[in-house]
Amino acid sequence: MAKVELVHVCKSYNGKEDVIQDLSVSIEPGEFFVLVGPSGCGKSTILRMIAGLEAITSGELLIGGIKVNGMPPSERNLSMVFQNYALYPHLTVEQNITFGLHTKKISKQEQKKRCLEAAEMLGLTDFLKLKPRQLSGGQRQRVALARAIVTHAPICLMDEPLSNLDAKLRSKMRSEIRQLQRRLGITMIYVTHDQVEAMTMADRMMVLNEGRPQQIGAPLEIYNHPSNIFVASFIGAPPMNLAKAKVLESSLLFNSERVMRLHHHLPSSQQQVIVGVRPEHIRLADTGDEYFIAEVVNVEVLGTETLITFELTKTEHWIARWSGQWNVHVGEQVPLFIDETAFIFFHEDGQRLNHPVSSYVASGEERK
Amino acid sequence: MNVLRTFLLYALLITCSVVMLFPIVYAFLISFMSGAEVLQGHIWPQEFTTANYVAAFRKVPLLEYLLNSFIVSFLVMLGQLIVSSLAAFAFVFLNFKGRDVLFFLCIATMLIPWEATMIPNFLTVQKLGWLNSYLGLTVPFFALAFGIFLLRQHFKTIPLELYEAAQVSGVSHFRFFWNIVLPLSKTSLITLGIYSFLTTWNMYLWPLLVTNNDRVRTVQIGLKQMQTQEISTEWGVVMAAVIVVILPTLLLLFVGQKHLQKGLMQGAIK
Repeated sequence: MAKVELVHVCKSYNGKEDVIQDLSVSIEPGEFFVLVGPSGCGKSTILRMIAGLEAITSGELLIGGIKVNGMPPSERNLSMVFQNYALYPHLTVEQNITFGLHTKKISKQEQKKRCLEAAEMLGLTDFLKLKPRQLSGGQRQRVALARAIVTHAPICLMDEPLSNLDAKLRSKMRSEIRQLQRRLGITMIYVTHDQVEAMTMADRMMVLNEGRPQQIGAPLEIYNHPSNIFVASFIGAPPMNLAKAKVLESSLLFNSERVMRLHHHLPSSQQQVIVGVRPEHIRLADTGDEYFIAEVVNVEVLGTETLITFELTKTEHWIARWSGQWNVHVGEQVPLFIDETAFIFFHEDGQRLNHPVSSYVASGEERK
Repeated sequence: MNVLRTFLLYALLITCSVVMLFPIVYAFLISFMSGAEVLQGHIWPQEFTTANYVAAFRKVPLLEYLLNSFIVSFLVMLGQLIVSSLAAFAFVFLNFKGRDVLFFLCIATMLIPWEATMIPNFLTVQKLGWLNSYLGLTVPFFALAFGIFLLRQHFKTIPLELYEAAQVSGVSHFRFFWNIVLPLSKTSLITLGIYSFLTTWNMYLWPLLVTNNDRVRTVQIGLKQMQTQEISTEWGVVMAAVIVVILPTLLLLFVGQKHLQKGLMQGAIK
């Protein structure tokens, strides 16, 4: 078990611009920690710094309480799974799995034993004598995983390991990796650009954008309480609906076209804000609700749910997500209702507005 | 139109190959002619005689020369493969300051003709006392910019992740080089091996410079010796020797042709 801590870590390639800026995070032993962000946000760089494949410009990296900034990768006692698997094409599966074990002073018998163990765990026993090119994508992925677990390293780093697989296999491997991590109790640091992977696998996750950490927390906490509009729009599919609005006494005014009356949870008056609502919180109005009418511009029926794109203002479209199959037509006028507590307010610069009432209500809801 | 094009194309190719092959075929035929026939300008021998071959082996120590050539070519091949692959490995996988500058400097040496460096090289070899030895014949050719370039291009096609994976698992540089890089570069290594073997086999000027007795002389000098040993050259005998000398070359070319093609094509389209 080892804890991984990054303390004020910066990374710069050219000495001028920082690719990673002042990153501090501590990853607990046995935790499944996901780094998620759009491509180019620096998440792979962070992983490679932890692995020792990339030098740290400033700050400290501690593994198990020991500063490892200058330590070569092999001495950090970790394993890594690469995006393209990095299998040795001319070696058999077995040789691939055991290659490198000799450096850890492990006997031939023990190597064999561990290899069989890992192969069994991942269902590779029948393929040990084959070459990687004779395997399917999913099997290659498993070989890469097996190579990571035979080392018995307490920390495993994964760099977008599932991005080369098709959707079906991906969801299968997602749960397999998660189960494997739980069974072995290793610390997993996992990089992905896919927010679904992050949401489903992580104990905790860090959302990154342009080299800066945006928010660190449990997936649901981040989903329910995004700290800024980037996180709000990045996490969740479809993303959170966002629109600029003006607060006028007890109403929200969208682009001088649409007014929504609120009773309690309003930021102070006369303020420009950005309003966010998750699509699942926009529902068809019941009788007695304070509804608003909007025109439907697109309908996607997905079987279990229906996504309805409607016109909030002339230039802005929002999406509502209703569970079940709905027979709504494009061009139809529908009455919609949004619960007041579902509104999340952001400052114009994108930061979440501290709104104690709303956050109190939200956390109360969670407890229910 | 298409038929005409094909016809023209084939006509051109056939003409070219005839022009290219004629000297070799003619040499082959001469080697079976008697001296008088050669002077009469016959193309096809009236009767095939093997007397020239017997004479060739008797006049100069051809077998010894052949053995010398084999040893020298093999040593140069080995030396070039080792030096070039190690250098190329450093240029691709090791990160050090001035790496690219050094590489371009290395490539730039290809601009200097070999003849220009001949005299300094000769003086060096002479000072080292390597005249009339295999060392003098082989060592100056171990470092080959072309070989480094060829292998570097191939090594660059090996995904960097393989190197990083090896680093994470703690595999040493040399083990990675030996167990991963070399097996993955087989085609390029064979290409370079054949290339350097053939080049050395055909070398004439340098062996002539650094040898002055029969002990380590190579076969190309032997051929020249035959020509000038007597007042009138016996062309039949010389051609017989030539055929013996090019046989290993041809053999190697046929065996290695596939690899050679593959190797030279690599990196061309990617």
